[in-house]
Amino acid sequence: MKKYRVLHISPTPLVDSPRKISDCLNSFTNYQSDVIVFNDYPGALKGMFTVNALVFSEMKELCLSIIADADIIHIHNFLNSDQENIIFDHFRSDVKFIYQAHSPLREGPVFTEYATDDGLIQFDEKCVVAQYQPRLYPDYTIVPNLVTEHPCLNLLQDDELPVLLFSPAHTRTGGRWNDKTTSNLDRTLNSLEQLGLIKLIIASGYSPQDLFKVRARSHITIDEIITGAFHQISLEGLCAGNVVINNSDFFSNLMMKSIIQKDIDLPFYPVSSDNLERQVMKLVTDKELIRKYQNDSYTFYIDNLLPENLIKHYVDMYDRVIIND
Amino acid sequence: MNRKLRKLRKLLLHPKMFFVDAKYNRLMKKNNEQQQDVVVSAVGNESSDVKKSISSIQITQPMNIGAMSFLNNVLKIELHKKKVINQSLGFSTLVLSDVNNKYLINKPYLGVLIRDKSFIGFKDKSIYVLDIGTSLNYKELSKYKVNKLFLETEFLRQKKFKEFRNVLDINPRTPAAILIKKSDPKIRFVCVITNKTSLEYMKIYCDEIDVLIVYKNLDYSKFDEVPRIIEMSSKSSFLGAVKMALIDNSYKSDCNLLLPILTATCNLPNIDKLNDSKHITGLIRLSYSLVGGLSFNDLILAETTVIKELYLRDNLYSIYKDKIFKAGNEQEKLKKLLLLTLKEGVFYEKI
Repeated sequence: MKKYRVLHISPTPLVDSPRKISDCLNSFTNYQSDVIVFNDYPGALKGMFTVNALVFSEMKELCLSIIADADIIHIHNFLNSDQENIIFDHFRSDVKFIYQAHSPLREGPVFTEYATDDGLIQFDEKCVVAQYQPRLYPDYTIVPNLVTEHPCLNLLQDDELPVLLFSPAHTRTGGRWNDKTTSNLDRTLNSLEQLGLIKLIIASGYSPQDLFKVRARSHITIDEIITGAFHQISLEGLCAGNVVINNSDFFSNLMMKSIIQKDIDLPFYPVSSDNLERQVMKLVTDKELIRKYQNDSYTFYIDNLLPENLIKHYVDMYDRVIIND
Repeated sequence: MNRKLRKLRKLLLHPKMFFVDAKYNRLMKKNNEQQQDVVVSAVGNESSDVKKSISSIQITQPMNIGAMSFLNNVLKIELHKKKVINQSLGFSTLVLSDVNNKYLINKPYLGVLIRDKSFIGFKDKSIYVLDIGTSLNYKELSKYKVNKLFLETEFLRQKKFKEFRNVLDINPRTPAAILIKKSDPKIRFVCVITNKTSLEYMKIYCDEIDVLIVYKNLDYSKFDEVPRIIEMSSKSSFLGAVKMALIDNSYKSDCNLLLPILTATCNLPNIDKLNDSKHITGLIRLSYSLVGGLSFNDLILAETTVIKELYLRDNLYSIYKDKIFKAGNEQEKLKKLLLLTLKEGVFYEKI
């Protein structure tokens, strides 16, 4: 059977998301996949997210030949005109184009719909990450974000302090879906640490691999409790057997349920700004409750979110565009 | 030299000046000036209100914050610095104009707004003007190119227009308002259309309009996706329509209660508690939950068959009331309402 080549192209590493899809395609499916990133992140993050990806500016010739070989070109987020033209000048005439939206409309970094029908590139299928984003792109096929780390479970011991990890990924503010923290949350977490009830780790500037190692040794992960969304952090928290705190609303949860195609309760520990102090206090003072949620997270992940199972959403989509030909 | 001799010499050498400077003429001039002064001060003394209204007519032009132009495929935006925009009002509106500020007052629709200083949204501190010129180059832009232009214009991505709640364009012939609207999630685009040319032009942008104010007799059936449509029967209803749109967009009620939109019983025992949870902006009750489907559209359509009750906050109700009361298929209506409110960012809690 012919092995089709998929090429993932994104303007920046997009916190490793395209690379994870690509790795899973190579490991678990009949598709062969590469990742090209046009520009790496600047500064301290440089090199952190491009371990298995090709950076276009550094390996131009190789990238151009990969573009020319691809059967499916999967574009993430948005390319500027120069980047589009590079692809346009080199792709094979029978190539299929797929678009994936990661960031929402009118927020940052994508503020507007990129994959319109009158564009330079005609997309055969458009998809969107199945978290809060689909409500902004209702026509797009929903696909999951993947976690490629090894699942683990580090149950809280009776003589241990619960370790709580908070790792807000960016400081972008304004907009409906950008906020990560409030003064109230900061105050509550700091107070709990001062009271000696938790060990608080506020992580920033870690590589994703290092951050996961920290998470695997923690017991509680806080995603964000402001917008009603859940993010990659929640998925990683489940994979690391953590209690996952977020305020994911009905429709965000529905996205997760639709991906796993089961109507079961999600093992998130819901906390909103109304009940923040009460709910977090209740959790950190009850070790049995923490262990229960840790077990639920881990079991849920193993049963539903293993990448070898979730990758079928992408394979189905690729099969559709190839067969439709 | 004595005075008479001097006068005689002036009469002979400079006869014109002799008569201009004559004592009689000087007196007449002085009298006239005094009389004018009297007229002005009489008006001024009559009542301070009159004086105010006179002076406000003279300085009634809204503040111009800058200009935006599109030439040779380059979008250029220049904003004057240090213009203070009163954010606290929440009614701040940016009006797009293609004429010099001086002549705004003569524009058939815009002039009506500018002259009405009684409404909070049209006071000098609320209304600002951006000059978009008469550039017709925009016309060649496809929707894709407009999006691209937006994505590649760093200025717009820096949210420079975030002080404004509304951007108002009357009979748009350019996508300028859309470019500004895209720059911040809080900006709402109020689009007034009074002629067929503009209606035709805006068709491809119908999903970008937040409020459409349009003449009843125009065929705007293509604009079904617009959350709010206000019909005008004549030019006299224009002012009221714009006021209504701005109030619904900007007004913040103190209570902002959850109102029943679709309900069987209207009886929620814990409604007070839910009302106090400010992050909850919508409530739904389902008979059971459905999962599965390829896209969000599919999912929402499936959900509409099982949704039994739906509540929305007061301010959302006023934005979407047209959709709620519109005649037609209930399921189709519910689907549209859900998709619009979810796109807007409503946080739905399950009850």
